Amino acid sequence: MDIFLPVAGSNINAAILLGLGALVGFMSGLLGVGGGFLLTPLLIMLGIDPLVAAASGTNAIVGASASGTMAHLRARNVDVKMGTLMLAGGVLGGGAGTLLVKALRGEGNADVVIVLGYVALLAVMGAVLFVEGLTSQVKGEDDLQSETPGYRLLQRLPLSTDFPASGVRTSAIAPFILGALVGMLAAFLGVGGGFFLIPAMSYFLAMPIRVVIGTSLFQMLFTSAAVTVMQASVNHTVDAFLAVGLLLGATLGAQAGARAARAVKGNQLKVVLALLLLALSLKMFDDLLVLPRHFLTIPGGR
Amino acid sequence: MRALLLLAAVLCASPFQAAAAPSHAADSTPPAANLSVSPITVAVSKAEIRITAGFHGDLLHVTGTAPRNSDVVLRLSSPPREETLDIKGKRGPLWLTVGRVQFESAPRIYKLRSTRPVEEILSPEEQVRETLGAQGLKASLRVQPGVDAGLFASELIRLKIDKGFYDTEGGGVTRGADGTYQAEFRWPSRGPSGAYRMDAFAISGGAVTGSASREILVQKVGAEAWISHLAATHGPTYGLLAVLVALLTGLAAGALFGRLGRAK
Repeated sequence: MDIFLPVAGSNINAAILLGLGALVGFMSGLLGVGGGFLLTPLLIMLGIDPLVAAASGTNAIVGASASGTMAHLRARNVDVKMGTLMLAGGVLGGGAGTLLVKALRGEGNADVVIVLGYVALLAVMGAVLFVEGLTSQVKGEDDLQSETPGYRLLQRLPLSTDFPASGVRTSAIAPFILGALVGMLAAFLGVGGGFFLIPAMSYFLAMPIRVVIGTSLFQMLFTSAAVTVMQASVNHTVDAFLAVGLLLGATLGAQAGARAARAVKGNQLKVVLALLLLALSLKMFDDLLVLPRHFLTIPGGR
Repeated sequence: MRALLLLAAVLCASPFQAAAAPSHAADSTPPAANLSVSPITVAVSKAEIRITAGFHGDLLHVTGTAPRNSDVVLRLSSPPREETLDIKGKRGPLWLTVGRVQFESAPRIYKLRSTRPVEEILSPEEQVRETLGAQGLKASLRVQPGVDAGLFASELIRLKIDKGFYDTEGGGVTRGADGTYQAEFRWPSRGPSGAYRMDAFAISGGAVTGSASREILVQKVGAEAWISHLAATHGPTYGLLAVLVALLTGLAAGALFGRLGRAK
């Protein structure tokens, strides 16, 4: 059965859409990462306009992070004060990113910038996962909370504030900056940004890992909601059909992934996923270099 | 079922034909020529293509009658309109958009079916005059002044053929023993909505001897129409709705699986 995507303006097989969501959900359940970074490039590979792929990915992340955020809020694993400052930064960064996408789209090169962003992102993530898988380091499980150089650096900024839920004292500007960076990433690439924010909150804010996950999800939920509304208002690139289809697949996949994670060895899987990400990065880069089939193209289409 | 549809289409299409008659009089042959031959007729299986949630393109069956000794050419096209395309160029190692070119007039869809290749049955002048065939189409494209019109027109045609929007090859019209003809047109799933026209031409002796046409309306209906309209014109409202729908889907799925997990 086919579904016609009203904003993307093309049809997609329902089984492929759900399967793609399930694959990404499975990966995220298995490895405990968000999976947004995998979603957008796979949609681009399927021929969806990169701008629509990124904005609809952001829309899907709203749903994907909703019930996790609720659970962490109930368990008091969210530093709401820290999260709200990050969110403020996220809205600002997301707004700036959305306007930048619009400007680049006017030039006709927004798609190339998004693809280049993914080439870099997938290469870095692939390399990190590869090393982790080989050296069997499990990131984030050792509770940092010591005074890292990153923490001391950002602490020197003005507006020093107490964050009782995290038990740290740092500048109010620090979480704002981190949030703004994540908002920018969300607007450009359609990612939730957990892969960046979770280590950054440990390193730069010295937050205990218990509140890092919950707070990251909290800011991800609201930042992606804000970016979805801004993308829909400014660039008209949010396809809700695409987002809901992916979301349905992802929730099913995530259950299976979480179950599978208890049964299989994580390290081999990390190496396999790392190789997949590196291959995807190379393929996307190569697509930018090869002689295009046409030297005239329809703006915004592929 | 198909026969019923066909009948319905013929009945529905008749008013369209009457309405279209004045506009196509200009590009048809003089009335005198029509008197000497039995006129060509055309019927299309659908007067309306509806883009619904399950849309994946459509198939149009075209039937009619034409003088036995003449060739038949069918053309599905839209009125020409302005279109802007990106020009790709190499900057460093990357292929980027380096400029834009504006076509002052180009049809959104242009598809031909014919009994024989247009080049074999129509003189080059007639191909251009009637906008039939690859050369006729190319000559009808108007490019912004100051650029290599021939090159850009060829590239536009090549692009649209690849997208399934243009088909200048022809062929595919079969004749029946009693003067009937039939053909099929595939409507691409990404084909833009709008008003289109099916023109049928009877051709003999290197010239058009009769023509007839039918209007075809392509439009989004139901949820598709509502959502794409909302997304295009009420961005913030649509964005809030998209967030709400994702939120509810996510929470519902979470609650469902949470309950399942506890039951185990």
